[in-house]
Amino acid sequence: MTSRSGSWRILLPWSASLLGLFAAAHLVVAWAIEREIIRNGQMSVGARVEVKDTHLSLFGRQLTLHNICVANPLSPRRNLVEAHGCKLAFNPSAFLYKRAIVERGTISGLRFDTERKTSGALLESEAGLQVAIIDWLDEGATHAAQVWLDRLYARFERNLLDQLESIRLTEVLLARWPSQSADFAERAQSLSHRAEAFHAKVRDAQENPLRHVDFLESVPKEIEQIRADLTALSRDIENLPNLVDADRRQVVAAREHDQQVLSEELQFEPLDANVLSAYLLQQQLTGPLADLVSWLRWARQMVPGDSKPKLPKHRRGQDVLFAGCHPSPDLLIRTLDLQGTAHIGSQPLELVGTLTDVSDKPARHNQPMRLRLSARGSLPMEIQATIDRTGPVARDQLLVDCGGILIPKLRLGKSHKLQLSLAPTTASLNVSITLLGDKLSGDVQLVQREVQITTSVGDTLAAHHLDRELEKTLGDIGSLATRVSLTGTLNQPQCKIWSNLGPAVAEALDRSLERTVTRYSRNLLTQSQDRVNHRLADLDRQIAGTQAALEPQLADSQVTLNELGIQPTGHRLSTDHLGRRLPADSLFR
Amino acid sequence: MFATLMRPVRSVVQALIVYDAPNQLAAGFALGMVLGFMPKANLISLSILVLLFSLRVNKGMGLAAACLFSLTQPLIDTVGHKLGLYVLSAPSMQSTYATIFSLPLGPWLEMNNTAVIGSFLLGLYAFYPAYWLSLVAFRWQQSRAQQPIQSSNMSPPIIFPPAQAETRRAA
Repeated sequence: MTSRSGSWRILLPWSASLLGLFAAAHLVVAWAIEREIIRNGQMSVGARVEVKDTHLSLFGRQLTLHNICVANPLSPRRNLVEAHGCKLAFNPSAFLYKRAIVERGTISGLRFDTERKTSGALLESEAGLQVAIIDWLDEGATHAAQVWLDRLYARFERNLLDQLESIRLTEVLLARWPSQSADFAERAQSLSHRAEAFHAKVRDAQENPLRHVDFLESVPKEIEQIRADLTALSRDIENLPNLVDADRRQVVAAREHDQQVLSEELQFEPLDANVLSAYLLQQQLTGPLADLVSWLRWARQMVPGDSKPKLPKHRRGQDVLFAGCHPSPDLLIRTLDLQGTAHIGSQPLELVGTLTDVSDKPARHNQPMRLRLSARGSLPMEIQATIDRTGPVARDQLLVDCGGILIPKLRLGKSHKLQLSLAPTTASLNVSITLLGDKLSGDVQLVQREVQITTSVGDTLAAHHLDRELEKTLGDIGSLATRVSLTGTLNQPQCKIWSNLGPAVAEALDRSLERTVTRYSRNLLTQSQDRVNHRLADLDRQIAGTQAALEPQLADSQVTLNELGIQPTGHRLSTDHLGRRLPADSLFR
Repeated sequence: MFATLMRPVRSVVQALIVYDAPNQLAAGFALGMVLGFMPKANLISLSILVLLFSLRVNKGMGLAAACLFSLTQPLIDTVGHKLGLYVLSAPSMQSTYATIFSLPLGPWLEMNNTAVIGSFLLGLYAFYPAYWLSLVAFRWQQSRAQQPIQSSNMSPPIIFPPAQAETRRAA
């Protein structure tokens, strides 16, 4: 009895201690696993990793993690991914071989790009990921398009009217007229003064003819001279309209030259369709493409391409691989079922998929890591990602096949000088990117259906209704296909954009510009003609005014000459005639 | 609690100055030395630790020696790595190593690590010399420590409970 009670006295505390130890082991191991997941996760992702609760069941060989948040290293205020729960079922025999193998796991309640209450950025020393943003898009095409548009606007903004030859000649003619008019006025004035002075002199001589015999002898000749000058001036004034007619003929000849000048000035070399595609689409594509490349870089940093795994810093010695032994990863997740939701554009998606052959040292596993995700609902989508480290060269591949994405309203084109607005459309998206070593290759294709394009141009071209012309032509485009080809390396990627939008807009621009230029030239010529006519009418009025002003002066001069009593018929004042006109009792008669 | 923590220290002091057998002290020292040479996170080290606690050797001395020889790790690793690499690279032994390594719990031994195997072999090599030298040293130390007690007919040091001291003296 005593020995029985004695054995119980030993057995009970030992059993209680063992049970306590077993329970404590649950807590301690769960805590240790949680710390290890957080530490390794943060080192790999480069942002904060949080696990709210970890539960380990040694009997059930199952580890359950609750409320897992992985912050986005590129945007610390947002979560890269968030999961409601993660259940991992371990293979117990693998622990005998110092390995952790998860035969099957489940991640439920996955959500992407959710908001965080606190920043998910790590201190710089903790961060394992430094994403360098490199300006890798080719700006040459955008620059070329910008230069072309600047030139186009400059041509339409220039005052071509003032440069036309007909306008210039008219202005020269008009500028010349005041001096001509003044010249005629001066001649008329001079002639009038001359006639009046001569008239006064003759009258004086007639008062005392004997004293002015010689003068009186010369009077007829002088009168004839003045009359000839007067006649010449009158003829010149009468011929003034004929004088302007020569200039008019020159102006008419200049109009033909004007047409030629306008056709040369308003001739535009066609803009390259690819340049136009790049100009219109590059800005819109820059963001998504940069995101895509950033994610590829991030994936490569998560699973580095070099096959040699990094050894811990304080590791003593060196591990030797014995002949006939195959290296194996320490952690392997064979299958992980994924279930969650995501938003693409404004469309909610229900995502279901599997992640297979995830390991901490992928180069030691004989199967590549594969992710297969499919979306159900209004937006059917298939995503396949492969991270292959089984070969000598690291190979990553991303395939996305998606139909029916809602694309919101887009504004294409950098400058206000030429912008296209695309109404919301549905589109299908295909992505096929391969990263072999550091070499990037692949295409991103987007096909938008039933596009509606509205055009906006700057005020200068809008005044010529180029936007309406463009819209008319672009209205025929039914669908829009865009393909972006990625080449180069992961650190220096290069992209080439092809789209049917570029050729369509280039063609529409050519046609519209042709029509606009024709109309503009016609308008310019009409305007120039109106201006020339108006100015010439002014000139005519001025000539008529000058004629009207000078004719009375000439008439007065004529009267003054006539008052000398000499008929314009040619009778001259002779000495005999003058003698007969003397009084009968005159001594000189 | 404090007494529990102090037990190894007390054991060392007790062993050094009075009653413990010098051979137990020397064996504990030698095992502790092997343990101190080796990296700790492997099944070989754990086995040595279990051995230390299972055999009739002085645990305190063993732990003290382990701590002491852990300080020599940088020196030991240089030699241990070279020795381990030489041993593990032996072509004739590859299949044997592979067989052991592929056994259940084989990877936990970390016998594929050059530092583990090198330092273990160094420890084994130095085990007997360490045991013999320490045995001589402990005998000499104990004889010196017991001489004044025997000559002055003093009671045992107060660090030992009187009952235990009486028992030990009778023995």
